[in-house]
Amino acid sequence: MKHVHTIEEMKLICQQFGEDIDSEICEEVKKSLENCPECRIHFDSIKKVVNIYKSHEQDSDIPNNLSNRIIKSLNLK
Amino acid sequence: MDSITEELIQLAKSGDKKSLSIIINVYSEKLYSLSFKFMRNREDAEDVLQETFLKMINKINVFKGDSTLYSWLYRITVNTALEKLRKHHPSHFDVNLDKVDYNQHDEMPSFEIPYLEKKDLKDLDFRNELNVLLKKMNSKLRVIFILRDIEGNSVQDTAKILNLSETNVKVRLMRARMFLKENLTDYFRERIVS
Repeated sequence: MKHVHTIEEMKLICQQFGEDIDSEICEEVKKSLENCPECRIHFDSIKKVVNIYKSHEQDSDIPNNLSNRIIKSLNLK
Repeated sequence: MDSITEELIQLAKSGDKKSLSIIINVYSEKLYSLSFKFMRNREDAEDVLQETFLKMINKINVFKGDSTLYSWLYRITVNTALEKLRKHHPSHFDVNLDKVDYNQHDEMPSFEIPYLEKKDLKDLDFRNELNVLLKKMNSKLRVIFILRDIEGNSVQDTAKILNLSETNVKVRLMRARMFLKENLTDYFRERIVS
C-alpha cells in the first residue's frame, strides 16, 4: 500500500531542514520515516546535495595580487 | 590572524595606512572566497571585497570590539554582496519566499541521487552544472544556503547576520535545498536513464 504523506509529516520534515543535516534531531526524523521509503530517498538525496556542494565550494581560486590591488585602489600605498 | 592585535586596530582607527593594509592582507583571501560564493564571478566578488574594505576604512571608528574584527568584516561582506545582488536581480527580492506550500511536496520522488566519489566531484561538466544551478537560484535563497550549509553558520547566527527571523531562515533554506535537489535529480536521471 502506498504511504500517505500527511501534512503533519511533511511539516516535520520541512521544519527540520533548517537543522544540520547530520544533527541528532535530523537522524531522529529519518528514523521516524523508516516506514516510508520515498521519504527516506527524499531525505538522503537532500543530504547528498548538501555534501556535494560542501565539497564543490571548498576551493576557490584567489586572483593574483588581490590584496595589493585592493590596497592600491584604496590609496593606502 | 594573530597579527591583528588590539594595538593594530587602534592604529587603524586613527587612519594609519600601514595597519589598514595589514588588515586587508590578512583577511582579503578569506573574504574574497565568501564574496565569490555569493556573486559567482570574479569581477563582482572583487568589487564586493573592495567596497567592504572601503566601508571598513570609513567605519572602523565605530567598531566597538563586541565581536572579532573578522566577524565584523564578514557581516559587512555579506551585506555588501546582498546590496549588489539586489541591484543585479531586483526581481529576486520582490518574491515572497517565506511561506511554505506543503501541497507542492505531495509527490515524493522515487529516484535517489547516487553516491559520488571524490573523482566524480572533479568532473568538469558536473562542476559546471553545480555552478549553473547556484547561479540560477534566487539570490535570497543562495545567500541563506551559502551562510548556513556551506559556511556552517547556525540558524541563529544566519538570522542575526541577515536580520531575519529564524523561521524565515529555515523556510528559505528548505526552499534552496529543494531547488538544488530537484534540479540535480533531473540531471542524474537524464544521465542514468539515457
